[in-house]
Amino acid sequence: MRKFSKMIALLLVLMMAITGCSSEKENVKDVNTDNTVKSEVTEEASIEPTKEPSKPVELTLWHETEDSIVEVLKEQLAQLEPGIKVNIVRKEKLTDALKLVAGDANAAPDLVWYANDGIGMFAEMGVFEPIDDYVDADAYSKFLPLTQEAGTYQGKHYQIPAYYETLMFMYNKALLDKAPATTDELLAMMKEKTVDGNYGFVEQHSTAYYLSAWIHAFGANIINENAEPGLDSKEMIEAIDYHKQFVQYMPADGEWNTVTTLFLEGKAASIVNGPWFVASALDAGIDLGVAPLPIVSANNNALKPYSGVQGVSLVSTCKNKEAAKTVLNFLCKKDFSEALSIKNGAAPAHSEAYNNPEIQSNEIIMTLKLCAENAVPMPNIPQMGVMWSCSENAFASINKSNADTKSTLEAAQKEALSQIEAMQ
Amino acid sequence: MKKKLKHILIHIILITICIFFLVPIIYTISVSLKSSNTLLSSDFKIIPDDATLDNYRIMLFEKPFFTWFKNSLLLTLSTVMFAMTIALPTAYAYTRMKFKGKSLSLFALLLLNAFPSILAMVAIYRLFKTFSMMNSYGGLIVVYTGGMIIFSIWNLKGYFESIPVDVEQAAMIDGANNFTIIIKIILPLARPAIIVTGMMIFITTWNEYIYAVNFLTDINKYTLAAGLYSLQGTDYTRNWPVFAAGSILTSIPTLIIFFGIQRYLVSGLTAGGVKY
Amino acid sequence: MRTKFKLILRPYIYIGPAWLIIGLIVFFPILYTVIISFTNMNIWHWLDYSFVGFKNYTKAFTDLDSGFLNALFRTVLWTVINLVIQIILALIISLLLNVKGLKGKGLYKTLMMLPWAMPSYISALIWKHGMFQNDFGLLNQLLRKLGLEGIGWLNGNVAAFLSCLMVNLWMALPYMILMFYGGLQGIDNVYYESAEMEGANTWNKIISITVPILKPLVMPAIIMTTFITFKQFDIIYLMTMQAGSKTGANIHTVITYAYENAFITNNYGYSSSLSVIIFAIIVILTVINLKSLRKGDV
Repeated sequence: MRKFSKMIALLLVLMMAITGCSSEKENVKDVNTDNTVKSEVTEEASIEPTKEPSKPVELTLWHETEDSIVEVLKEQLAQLEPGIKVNIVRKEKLTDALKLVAGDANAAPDLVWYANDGIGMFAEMGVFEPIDDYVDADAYSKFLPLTQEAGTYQGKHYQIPAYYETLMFMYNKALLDKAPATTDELLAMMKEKTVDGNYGFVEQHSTAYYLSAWIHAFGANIINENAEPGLDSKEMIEAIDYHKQFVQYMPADGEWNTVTTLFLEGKAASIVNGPWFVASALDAGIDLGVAPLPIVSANNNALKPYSGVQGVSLVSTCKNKEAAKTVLNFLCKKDFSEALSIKNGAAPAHSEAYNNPEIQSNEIIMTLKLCAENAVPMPNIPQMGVMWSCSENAFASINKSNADTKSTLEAAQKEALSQIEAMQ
Repeated sequence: MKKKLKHILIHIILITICIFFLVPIIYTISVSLKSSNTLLSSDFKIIPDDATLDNYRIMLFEKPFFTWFKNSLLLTLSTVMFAMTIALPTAYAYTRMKFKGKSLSLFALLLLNAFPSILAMVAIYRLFKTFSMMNSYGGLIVVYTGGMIIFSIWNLKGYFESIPVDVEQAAMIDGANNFTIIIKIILPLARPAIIVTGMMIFITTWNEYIYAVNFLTDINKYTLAAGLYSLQGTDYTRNWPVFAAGSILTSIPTLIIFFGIQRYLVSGLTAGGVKY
Repeated sequence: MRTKFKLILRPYIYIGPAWLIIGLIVFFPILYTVIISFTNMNIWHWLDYSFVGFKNYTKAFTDLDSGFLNALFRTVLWTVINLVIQIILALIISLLLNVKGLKGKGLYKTLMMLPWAMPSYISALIWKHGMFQNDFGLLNQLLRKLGLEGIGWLNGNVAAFLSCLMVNLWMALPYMILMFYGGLQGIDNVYYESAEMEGANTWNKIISITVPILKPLVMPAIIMTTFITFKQFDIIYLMTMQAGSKTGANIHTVITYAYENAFITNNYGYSSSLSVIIFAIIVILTVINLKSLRKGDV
């Protein structure tokens, strides 16, 4: 008998555990529509019974970004209430989460705050839907061409850009009078100042994102629009070799923590970094100067870094496309870009935001605008995903372990090609 | 005298080993005391120049630390209880009982553990979605138990096997039924193994963040490990000192428990059990 | 009759719940992986994948570039070295801790459990950025204070391998020490006393008494650790392969190799087939080992 009761106890525990705390519906979806939801991607807006004014439509937006940006999003989107309420939810491991909920209308969000480089992948997976049919073309055209291009994949637009970031030359005014205009000047400065644990210039020299500036200046690229990697091109080899002379005067471990620590402690006179770093620098009491990146003396081309564009994308399984359309059009107005920029110091994607005197007087934003003219939008094709790994392995080998440039790059190119093939 | 010398030598060795174990922990504590948001400094000091307890304050009061703590406690203790309840009879059965399929299933237990389940998350996600087990602690308990059960069974079985059958047979002659034998005889004798297994389940669950982050959508349900993960943001926005403070705080309960169970690690066998 | 039926049923009732959970959490994902390995699930066919038969497997075999074989060899090396060192060190340390009359045992034991208590994710980050870091890492700073040059702990393949080994030992030893120590408790002093009377010294005692009695007690721990070490992912990945902070070392193990294929290329179909192949290799190796172990025993 005891045995029996033990068995019952076990079964009870099992059942309790499986049902557990009742699982809530993850996202409160739009309350109005109760028509059956098709899980295939539909291009037209879903059919919608007349909205009752008392029940607001609820949409969900996922993000994995900083609080300051979220605050602006909340503020701005609050203006759409009470008609439309956008629940802004932070989702850790956003990329993985989106992959998991793909195609599931109940679990997936309606909108996502994402960087432009994920667009290709999510478009192919069917997670993102083009916004061309929802957004007023005229309003959209007011965005900076760079940002429009960043969100375009195979001719369609997938993103309402909000702001963009790219790399600038930042320097400590106490240690450096003015930014070098050419790379020859930079090298000379580095030779002079790099002594006794102090550095003239530091950068993340083996990271593809930072190295891209040098690569593009020589006309090479990591991958082109046709998904062809260019790791072993003549220009690429030239770029990496040229860059190597600078690496000698930098710390071996060109990694975020190292270079930023050096700069923040006043042991590096200058650094290449993006607007995200400004706050830390100012907090550390650095008298910060910003400037566009130098021009390569060897061929008179400017250093052209990648630029990343952050914005809002539409998820294909959104059940209430009408409401989403309203939100997207709302975000096309200059207010959003402007507010973000003023709060965050990021460069607005909307051209009209630059008419704002507050933005005009912000040295960092205007420098960013200058830099943007020379920036290359980060490739958003899915194949770019594999390039980071191959290229960085190669760069790290060449810069840190002194491997031979040509052969390492050729091997990396082979690996990239096989990885791209492996994606199929 | 010779004994004293021997002891001193042993102490030196043990202290050296402890230093090896301690150094990264001390480093973490040091970072958690920093007032500037950097991980490194060109001049390392154990207690930084601008030491502050502010990060701990932020961690405890500005972040939902106590909610996370409560959640972790609930989830972890439930998992330990649930997993042990399931593993104990299983280990016992594999040790003492004869049944068809015993050795085959035992072998399978070993091998199943070896599969590189990189896509396990995806599979379990689909499974849970179907049974509406997402965003529930019940679901997580099942996942964590599943992850630890094979290990627990092997651990307990190994120890059970070392308990001589005579004890049980003596009890059986005295008329005790199976259930009584397990509770009154086996469990006390196997105390060290149970404690170690329970401890292992506790630590693994307490520190697990991957499933917690992916399966819990309600931020109020986040465990300590998940909350800690959410603090770290990206490479650029990570606040190292707060993160370090959080790590230390997360580790403390584990240590307290471990220190508390120290004395139970003595085997029941030598404490007056059966001698050969 | 009823009792006989009950008797037969009983073991199954005891093991039932465990196997149910194992079926859900362990077996089902394996099944899922096997199924996916026969499809073309990738970025272009994320939701609408279809069966493609053995295509992924043929690709895996023709593609069996040195990358995979290297990773396999390295994984075996990694596992063996780790285990040998762990067993030896755990035995020594637990013996030391077990010395009669030693003061402060509780303190030592608690301190040694510290690496186990810290979440491994954080430990890996601290080791990588705080200890091994080339310019400001603690280890190099200490070396430089002693007048030596800093070492590139994670840059070369061998150095990275050894550094990861150190971290793995750091994380895994607490458990092993605990298991060995617990096992030692189960050895009755009577054996040692009678051995001493026969004139055995410490070494003899260890070899003839401690090791044989300890073996079955710690065997499960060793077996489990073998598999865990083989599948160890976090340490190697976080230390050398994280995007944005690659160290220039290529010390792929089979699991990081499969992971990169799954999550970088997002080709779930292909990486599933890799998982199945890896599993097959493990099974074969295990069976061979078990057979030889059994022969050895006889």
